[in-house]
Amino acid sequence: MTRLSDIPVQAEPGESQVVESPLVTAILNNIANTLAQFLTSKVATAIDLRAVPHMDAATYQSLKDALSVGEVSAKVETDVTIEIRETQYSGIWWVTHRNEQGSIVTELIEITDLPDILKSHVIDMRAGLQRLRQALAEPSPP
Amino acid sequence: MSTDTPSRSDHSQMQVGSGDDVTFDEATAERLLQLGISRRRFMSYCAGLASLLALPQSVVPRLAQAATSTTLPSVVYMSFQECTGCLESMVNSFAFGGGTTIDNLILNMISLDYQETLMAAAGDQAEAQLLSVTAKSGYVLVVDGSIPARWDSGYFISGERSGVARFREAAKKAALIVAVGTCASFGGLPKADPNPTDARSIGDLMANLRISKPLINVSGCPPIPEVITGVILYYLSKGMPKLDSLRRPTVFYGDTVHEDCYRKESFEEGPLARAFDDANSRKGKCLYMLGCKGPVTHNACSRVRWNQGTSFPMMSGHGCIGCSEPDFWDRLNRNNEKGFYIPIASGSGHSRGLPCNTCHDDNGDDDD
Repeated sequence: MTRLSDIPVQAEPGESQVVESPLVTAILNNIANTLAQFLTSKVATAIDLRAVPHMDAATYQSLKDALSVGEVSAKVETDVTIEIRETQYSGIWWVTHRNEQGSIVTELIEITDLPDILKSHVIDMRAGLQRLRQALAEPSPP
Repeated sequence: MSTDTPSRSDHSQMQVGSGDDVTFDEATAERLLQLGISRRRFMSYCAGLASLLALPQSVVPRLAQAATSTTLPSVVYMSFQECTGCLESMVNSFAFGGGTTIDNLILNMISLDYQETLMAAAGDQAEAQLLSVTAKSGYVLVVDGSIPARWDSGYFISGERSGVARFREAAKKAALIVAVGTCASFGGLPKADPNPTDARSIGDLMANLRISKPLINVSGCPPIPEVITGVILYYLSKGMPKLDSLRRPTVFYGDTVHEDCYRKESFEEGPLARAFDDANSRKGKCLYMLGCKGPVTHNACSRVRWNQGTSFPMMSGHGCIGCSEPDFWDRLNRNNEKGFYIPIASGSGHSRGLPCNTCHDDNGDDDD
């Protein structure tokens, strides 16, 4: 039987994005350095896009295009929505916090193995375990 | 006035200024669970606050600790010559959240030990509470409204004491004084010409009375609710914020309203709106010629916006009236005229520091 790796399919890498904006180049360099630091120190970092000076709409889109999208996406839905998307570069995440009306409140580029917002906290897990045990202890309906 | 930074260590057990090594600890998560708040929702809230306060995201756990701390700083909120609009602004910011516990957390993170409008006590009971709270050291004194300079003028008497006497006593043991609103920060409406009560700002009164305490001015008529609570949160989590020359936190008052105004583009390139609701006004063009004071007004209206980030005055077609600046009621504009609808200066080009060609391209009718 032909194995998957035997199938002669090769994904041609697309043309690399030409980054024209010096600001985007600077941010990407910063991200690259931060990712390199994370690999040795394991200290997660976040870049607040609102705090980046002179981030106009064109620069923003250029940065978003340069980072593109990767394999993982997730959404936290409470009364607000938080969209988490790994970029094409593993370990670099684009995190968008939206308010109740759907408007963007905060937008971050997080350099980490997994953004904190996705992790379960041990306190929440203990509470969840307690609730699950209570549910199991209740008699099942006939 | 002293510029000493008051210690936050007596208000909570968290470490301040020890770097960014604070993690989202179990105690904070436990308290959020007890309050019935989604931890992820709260993290998102703190991320937004950190962004608003221009703080690094690494400070989020510290903000979370400050907002959920069980050791609350005592706050004494005193009102003088004011309209209660500032308190109304702050309190209403929580009502819009549908009373959710996250929004109420801001009120929960301080121990509001005295506030005439909100407290149940009145009369002698309220006075006794004020004396009891201000007998201890280290509280934050929030002041709303200006105060008549002369103690015997009879213009402000409460609890059988003049405004000056009430403020002087309350300020004695305060760790920090926060002047909320333009009346407290700069005198505001009571100080406007002809200033019948000889109203003074809190800063001026402190200088007169030789009170040396750290002072933060949170100006605006009223201030943006998020700015009021943001300053409190900043102080709780990071200590004294950086202040401008008028003692306003630069994080909110560093830029002019004009800087982030979506109508700014036409300020530089024209055309300008010439009448309220004219075609250019409706197209989002600059309201400078209609008296907008945005270019000279330092505030966060166009950045933070009002009503949970919904809009700011220029989005409704009305220019900025400059309410967060000193003496905005009596500002002299073009030809030494007073008025909210009088342009700051004549001309659309040179007087705004714009290049010559911009001015002369602007139909020529406002060249100066």
